[in-house]
Amino acid sequence: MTRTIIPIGPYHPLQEEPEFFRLHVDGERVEKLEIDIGYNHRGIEKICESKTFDQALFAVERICGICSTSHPFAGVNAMEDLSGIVPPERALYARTFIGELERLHSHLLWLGLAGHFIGYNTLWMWAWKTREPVLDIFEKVTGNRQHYAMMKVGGIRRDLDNADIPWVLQTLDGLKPALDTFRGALLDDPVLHARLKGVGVLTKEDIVSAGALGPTARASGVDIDVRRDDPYAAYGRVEWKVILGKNGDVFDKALVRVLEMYESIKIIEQCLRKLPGGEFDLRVKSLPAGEGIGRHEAPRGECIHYVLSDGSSRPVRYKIRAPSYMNLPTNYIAVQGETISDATLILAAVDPCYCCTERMAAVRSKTGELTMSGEDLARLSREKTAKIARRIGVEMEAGLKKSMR
Amino acid sequence: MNAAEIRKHIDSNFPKEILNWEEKSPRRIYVEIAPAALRRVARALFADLGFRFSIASGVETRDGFQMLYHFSDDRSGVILSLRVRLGKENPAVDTIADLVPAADWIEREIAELLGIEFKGRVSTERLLTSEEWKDKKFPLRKTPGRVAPKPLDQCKMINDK
Repeated sequence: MTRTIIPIGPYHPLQEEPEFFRLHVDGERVEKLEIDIGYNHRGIEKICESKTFDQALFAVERICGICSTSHPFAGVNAMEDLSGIVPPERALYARTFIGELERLHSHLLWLGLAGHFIGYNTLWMWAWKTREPVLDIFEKVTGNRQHYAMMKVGGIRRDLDNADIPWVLQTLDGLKPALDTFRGALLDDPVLHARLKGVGVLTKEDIVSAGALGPTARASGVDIDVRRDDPYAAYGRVEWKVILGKNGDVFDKALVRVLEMYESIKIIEQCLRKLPGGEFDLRVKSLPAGEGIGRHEAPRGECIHYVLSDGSSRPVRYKIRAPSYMNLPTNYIAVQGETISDATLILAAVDPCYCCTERMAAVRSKTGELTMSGEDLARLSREKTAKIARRIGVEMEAGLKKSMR
Repeated sequence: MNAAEIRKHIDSNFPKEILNWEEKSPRRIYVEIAPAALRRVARALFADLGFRFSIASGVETRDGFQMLYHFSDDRSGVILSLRVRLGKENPAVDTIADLVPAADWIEREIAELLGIEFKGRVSTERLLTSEEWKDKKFPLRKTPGRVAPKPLDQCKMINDK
């Protein structure tokens, strides 16, 4: 019998990063999956051995562009476990705030991509529009939309400005109606139910045997979350709950992520309201010999770092394990027996990473003023739609016509 | 189950196999075991105690290689790291990928990058490196197999005719 193999990758428009999936198919059904990784192996573990501990935190921050604080967060946890250093209270709350803000923007990014993969581009636009204010908060608080470089052994690299807090809380309040819309769309839209329910099911046993993590595990009802199980930073001092799914399908993975965003906002609000004053950094100069393990619940699951020091300024060994390393192999099971069109969605449901640090801002070079505002962009978009509508002879709806004036 | 109860359980089942028990902090335990006991202890942690396999680290030290298997107990927040000391030359250890499926990728990765052999593996397919990557060059080693540079007087210079 002849076999048909559908290659996806290593560079494919569906994926943002190089991975090679080979789908062995019989007609429309996927029988087997092969995964090839390693196309973009940057040797960061080895690089860290030639960096000082402080420099290594910058290096690991470059592992991921979405959850860029996850790795330095796990890294400082490991180095503080190694040295026994306890950072000031203010830094612990600030770290928690940054970690949860990142979860918010990462989940919104995934939600948009998931919408895009199932051809629901409205959801994609909504989600990414909602994500913008989160990145604005990052820019205001840390100075950057991505790669915030806030984590530092013994504290945070720059202090939070208390004057920003009311604005941050107000901006987060503005997100809540959008989250309600997403939850409503997910729970009520029969098209989404038809497309996502019962697709790519992972049982509890599948999760345990693969060692899968984060929303991928929690959607199958596996109750793990490092923030609660092995509390660090200020997670043990705020009220929140772990969101669990039941069915382990793509629908539950989406729902878990949407509901987790509410919890993230809850955590951030408490952190900012309780934010203690005082020192934010202990100005640690060196680390002793020893070994340490640090964890952080990244948006995709537990991120774990192991650091070995011989007392010099550089680590002897720096082991990094990102959550997708454990989540990707679940795809071997999840795509079996599914159709090709669902397979692409299932492969994306573990939320593989994507670096998003770009945006458009047209600025006049001499005066520095913006040449195009958000409204201008919206107007351009409407004009283009109208142009296409005229060309193909479609009558535009009254509402759209009205907004054109 | 806290660190003391975990110790009691493991001590009673493996009285001879435990070489060293170090509680670095309340939720970080390092347990050194004899290489021959690895499979039995790993099975006990994963199957009997229900620990989650988090990851393994291969480490090269001055005295030789080490494998660390980090198991996470998500009820108590404890990470129990099983330590197995291996020799300096041709380090090898039994595979646990058949007992703990989650260890499959990391064993392949460590074999390719650090050159530790995992005995008894069914699949020896490459994970990260290309099939053309040969000659026992292990990029994560402290002294990776490099081609020694030629002495300068033997090098052909650009200006040489």
